[in-house]
Amino acid sequence: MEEKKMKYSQMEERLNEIITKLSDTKIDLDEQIALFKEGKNLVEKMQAKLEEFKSELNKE
Amino acid sequence: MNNYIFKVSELSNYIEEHLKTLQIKRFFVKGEITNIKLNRTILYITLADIDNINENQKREEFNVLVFSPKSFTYSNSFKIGDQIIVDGEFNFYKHTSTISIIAFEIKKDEEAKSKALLEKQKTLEYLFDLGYLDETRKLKLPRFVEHIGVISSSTAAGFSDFCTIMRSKFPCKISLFESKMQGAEAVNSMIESLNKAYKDETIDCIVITRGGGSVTDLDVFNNRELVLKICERKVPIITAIGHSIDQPIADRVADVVCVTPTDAANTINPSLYDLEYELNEFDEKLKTIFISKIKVAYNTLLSNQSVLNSKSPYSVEVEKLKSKNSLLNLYINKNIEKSETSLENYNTKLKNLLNNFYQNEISKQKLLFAKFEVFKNKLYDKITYFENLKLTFLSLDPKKPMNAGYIYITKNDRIIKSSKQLQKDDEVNLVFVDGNKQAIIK
Repeated sequence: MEEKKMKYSQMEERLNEIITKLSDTKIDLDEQIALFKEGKNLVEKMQAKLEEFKSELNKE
Repeated sequence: MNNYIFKVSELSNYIEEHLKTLQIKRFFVKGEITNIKLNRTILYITLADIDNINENQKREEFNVLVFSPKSFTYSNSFKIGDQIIVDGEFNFYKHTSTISIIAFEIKKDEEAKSKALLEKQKTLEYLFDLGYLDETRKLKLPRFVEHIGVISSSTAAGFSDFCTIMRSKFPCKISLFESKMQGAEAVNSMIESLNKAYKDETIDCIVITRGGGSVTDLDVFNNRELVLKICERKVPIITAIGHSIDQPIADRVADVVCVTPTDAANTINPSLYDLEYELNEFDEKLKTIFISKIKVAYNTLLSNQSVLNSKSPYSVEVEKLKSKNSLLNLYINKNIEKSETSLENYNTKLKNLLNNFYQNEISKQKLLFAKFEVFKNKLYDKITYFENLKLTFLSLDPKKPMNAGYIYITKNDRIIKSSKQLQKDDEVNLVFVDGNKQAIIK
């Protein structure tokens, strides 16, 4: 529910954090999988957001 | 009012005549070059007032003509924005009824230039003392700007270009704070607009832009009050007020400096196209990192499994068995190889023996055959001999002449070979081929 309210910039920031965390060698596999899932989820949401932006610009 | 209706030519002549009666024949005039163009041998200069702006927000202008040969020299010496002093006289061109200035000599207005420079230098020193020129004071432009405040004239072409680009890139709100951007009122107008913009806390950045104008118009951006107002900002300020060799102070204190409104629009916010590209990059990176992590985890698992296997008792036995099996295979292979070699040798020997045997037998057979041939020839010789002997013997058969009618005579079983053996009246035996007959000798 929290993610829905996130702005594109916040999602991008979170995605960056996820990639940085994933690059860390110390985290365990379970956490890696969770981060990957969250990252993929964010990418999908960001793609949807970009589509929204596109329609918004086309309306103008 | 004079009710006389002039013809155009009459009016032109009237003006021309009156120009000749002016007290000022030759004069000096100073101003800023707003346009300069050499056409064949004539140099056309548009000269404008430096400070005075009329009610239409435009400066008064005069056309100045320079003829050859000075036209060529001046076209290289002066440029737009230069403040000059022209030594010239009026010229009336009857064909278009326009009054211009014919220049005899032009020189740069060094006094105006040095005055402005001095003022600028003082302001810079003042700002330096306050620490406003420190690079660390500069605010970073947010990656995503949602609300932009623009200080500009609504009629400026640059503002329109700015809005067009911004609206094609990324959704954002643009608020215009209408301002005069040149002339005597520009400074106060801009300060007022900045104050309004500062009050709106939703604004993420402010763009100060102007849509063209001469380089000298940039002097307003050296104004101390305006510059200090810019320094009060809480959000980043972008200046897009044109390019000049002497950078205006507003550019020095601005957080981001762009040359044109278009540049500013390109600097603020990424485009959706860029974002899509970056998002794909993110996605790829995410996958790549995750796959590499999984690979590492998998390899670690394999490594652990290998270590575990190497330490289990079963594995030790299996390894021993494998080692023995390997030795056994080696031994078997070696023996097979050896046996194969021996077999090969035996085979060769056997072949040689058989070969020799056959060769001997053939020799013997050949010899025997040769002997047999000799024997056969001898036998044939004997047969021939006996055949001949037989023929001879047969030819000697006493009965053979008897068949032809010959007989022989015996007496007392003795063959009479001579007539002298017989006497008269002797009884003899006549032997014919087919029987005997008794006869008496007479």
